[in-house]
Amino acid sequence: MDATGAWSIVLAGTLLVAGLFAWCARRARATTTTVTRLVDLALGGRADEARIQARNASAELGPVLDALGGELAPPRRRPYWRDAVAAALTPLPLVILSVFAFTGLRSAGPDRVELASAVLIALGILLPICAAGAFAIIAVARHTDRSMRGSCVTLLARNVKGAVDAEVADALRRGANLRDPRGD
Amino acid sequence: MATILLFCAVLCETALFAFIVLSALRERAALARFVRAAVDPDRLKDIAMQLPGAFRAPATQFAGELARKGSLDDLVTQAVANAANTTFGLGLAERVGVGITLSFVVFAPLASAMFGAAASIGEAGEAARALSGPMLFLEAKGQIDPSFGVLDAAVRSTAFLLAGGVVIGAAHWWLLRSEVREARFVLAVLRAAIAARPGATAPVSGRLTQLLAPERSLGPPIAAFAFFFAALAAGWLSLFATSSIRQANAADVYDVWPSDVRAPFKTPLGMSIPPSSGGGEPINATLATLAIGPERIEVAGELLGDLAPAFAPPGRLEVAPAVERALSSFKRGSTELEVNLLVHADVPMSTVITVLQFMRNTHNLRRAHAVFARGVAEDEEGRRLLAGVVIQLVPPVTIDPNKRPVTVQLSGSTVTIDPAGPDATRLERSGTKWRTQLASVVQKKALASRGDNPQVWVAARLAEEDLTYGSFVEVLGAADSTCGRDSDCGVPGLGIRYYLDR
Repeated sequence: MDATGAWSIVLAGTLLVAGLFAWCARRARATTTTVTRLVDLALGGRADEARIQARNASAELGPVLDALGGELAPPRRRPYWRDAVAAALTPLPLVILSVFAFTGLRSAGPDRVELASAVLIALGILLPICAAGAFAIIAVARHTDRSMRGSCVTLLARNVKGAVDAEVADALRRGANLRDPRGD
Repeated sequence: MATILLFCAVLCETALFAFIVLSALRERAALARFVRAAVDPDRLKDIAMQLPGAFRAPATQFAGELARKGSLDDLVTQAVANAANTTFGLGLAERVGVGITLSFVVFAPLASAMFGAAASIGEAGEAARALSGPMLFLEAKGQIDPSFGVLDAAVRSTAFLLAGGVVIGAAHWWLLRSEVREARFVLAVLRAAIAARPGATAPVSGRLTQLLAPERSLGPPIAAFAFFFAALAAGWLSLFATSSIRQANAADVYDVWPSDVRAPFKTPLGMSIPPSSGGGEPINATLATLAIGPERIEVAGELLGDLAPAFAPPGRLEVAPAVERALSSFKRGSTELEVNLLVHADVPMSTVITVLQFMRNTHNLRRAHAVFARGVAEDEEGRRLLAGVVIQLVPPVTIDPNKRPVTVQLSGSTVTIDPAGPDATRLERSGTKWRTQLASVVQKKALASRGDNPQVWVAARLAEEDLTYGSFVEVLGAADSTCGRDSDCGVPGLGIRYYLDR
């Protein structure tokens, strides 16, 4: 084991963190674009079409599908296990580097001095990169949550208005006295 | 450098925490003004324009529609929906940028210390290439210790910075996360609507806000408590699991002794190897062993004679042919003999010197490595690590005869450095400080007087020959020690060579 292994881990770890962030960001953008399109369809009077597209899209759009279905319920949280896994993978390069250093430095090879220097430098590079990667992935996940919640609230407002209008129309049809729905 | 970066990181965290608290207070005050101004819808729009950035657009739209006497239900519903779709605080790109910057700021002191430690390791490795033996350890230790002290301080300060980051994160979560700010705005809009049009009905917005109201169940607090408890337990478990490592690190003991010469030979049955808490160098296992005590005197495994009772000097020593044959293989063509000297601790020096003189007269013994047991690093079989100091039986020819050599004189319970000199130092061999003082005085004088001689020579003189070998070796080892303290640090000694000055 020599210092080349440490540099390889730094390079691979940086690529892993950048790749995880890029994957999460790409997924988030796709989700946000899809949700915006579905909300526009629903507000444009094509709710059925929007519902069909939401059902065929990823399971992440479950909360939007509920809102498109006319449910009068608080918006559900978006499934976040993918983001949690991605954030949990960001410290992996540090773990691998630690195992590499532990096994390499305990052996009696002649390059231990060089390996020790390389491991310290690699740790100093990877620590902030992994922390920044985890933070960025969590920030993207929160942004997507917020965006989806906003869309769900927009659809929910429409559903609530429809429900109240239906109650008022039903009351008028029955000839009952219109009561203030706020009384409950 | 690490200190500067740490100072900057602490400043950043303090500023961030203050910003969060002040922003929350400012938002609350601004929304309270907005609510108070709702009784005058014409003035409300001006107040809405003064709200913090993210609130301004939905509040202005609400105020404008309110002034135009629009449907209150529609106004409030629209405001709630707008609030849910508003990005409070920084946008995604700015948030990611701030997070990346904060990560590098928090870990910059630690990274800087790691780079410094790596550089010192490289420099120590370069410096050590030209050295060998004990000086290699001393040179490397002197270069590496300071930077690892800085690294230790950097790790501790980074831990505090991370704790500060957790506090900042918690404060942000409590006061400024998007859901909290949205709820704060919705509450202000509802109060403003009630103030502007008391008695008006708003069934849609009423039901909508009921559905969007934050959950008040015990689930999230219980989950938070469980997570906190699990994190605390994991932290304590990791501290407990690593306590032995941290204890070993705190003991400041270095595991640098070569593994093949930690205890290269078995001591005779009943022999008590004298201890010393420092000094000496790794044993040369290729040399013959001269063992004195507890009952016999042997060299290279062959009997030389029996010790008299009370370890008195033997009356008669003979050179048997078996001894000659055994020693010839160790001399390897040279006429001089060099041995590892294993002596029972209670044997008086008079007996030891008698045997050494005999070996010098019969086998041209020139040098003996006095073996003692160090106080650290027992091997896998539980035996003490063995070290040896070189004792030359005659003054070396490399010493300048015109210069007075550094002399260590032992008598009874005292040791005197340079007793014949103007700055003689006398130490009592009791208590805990004499070893450190002895090493300091002897090494300073010996290094100053060696000139161009690569070896450091010190004369060892016995004022009383009934001093035990254990006391003798304890003093020689202490004078050679590089630990700088009374407890053993695991590092070989300076490499002082002694010669018997009689």
